[in-house]
Amino acid sequence: MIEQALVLVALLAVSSLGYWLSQRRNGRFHGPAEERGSSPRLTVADLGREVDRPATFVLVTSQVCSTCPQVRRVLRSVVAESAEVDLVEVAAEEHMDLVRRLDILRTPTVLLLDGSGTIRSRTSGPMRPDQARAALAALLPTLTRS
Amino acid sequence: MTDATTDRTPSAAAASTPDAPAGIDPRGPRFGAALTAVLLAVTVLLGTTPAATVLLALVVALFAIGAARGAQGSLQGLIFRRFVRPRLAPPAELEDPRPPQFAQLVGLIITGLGLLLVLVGVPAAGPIAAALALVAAFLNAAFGF
Repeated sequence: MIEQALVLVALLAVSSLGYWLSQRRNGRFHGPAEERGSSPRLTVADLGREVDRPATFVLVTSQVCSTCPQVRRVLRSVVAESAEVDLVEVAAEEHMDLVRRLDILRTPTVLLLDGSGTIRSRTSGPMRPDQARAALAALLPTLTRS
Repeated sequence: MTDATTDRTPSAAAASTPDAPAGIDPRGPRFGAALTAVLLAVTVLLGTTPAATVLLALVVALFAIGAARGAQGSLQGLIFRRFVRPRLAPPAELEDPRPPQFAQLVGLIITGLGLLLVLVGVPAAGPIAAALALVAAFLNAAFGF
């Protein structure tokens, strides 16, 4: 009985470790190197409006997405800190062509666009404000706070 | 169901569509998963004894109720609403009940298959299925995964 209990504890410990490792990537923006010119560009046709600021967060949501409200809140508060950053929300169900084109496998997925609409980095899953700010800082080192 | 404003174009906002069900307290399914995890842990510890099979059958029945009626309609959900939630502050946010209900269905399939295999003469299937379901229930209860 004690052996089985130890196996059980080991099983739960391994599961927890696996879970912890898989969650570390959440909110961590990763993007193509600046030199690569092949990063896709989003336009008003994709987003429903013009990209008119130096940085734009694009939040891809879906109907059944338990962490989307949290990420929306985080992005809204970070965007409110600067007039140079914008937030656009895109419902995956209404933009399936975009989802397929960009290999979006999960919601929430957040894309960070520069002033030309080019995707410079992306992430998915729950997000902390400091992760969003760090991605912005990497994109716009001279970001001014309003 | 007719709607007088059917010519309204769908908005790109993340508002729920008219047929999305009412939200539930997200702590309910997690509490239920904790109870289920305890039952499954005992099942695993009982190995391949008849008591383990009986307990597994109980877990299958609980999952069946949850899959049919949603996590909030399960016995664990009832216990949560009666004994736990009155002691808690109201939830900060409500969640869509469909993903927890789907999780119940997944639990039903795993444990149901295990029980079936035990009954046709594969005793090892019992603890293995219980262990798989236990990992899922544990992650759900502990981390909301």
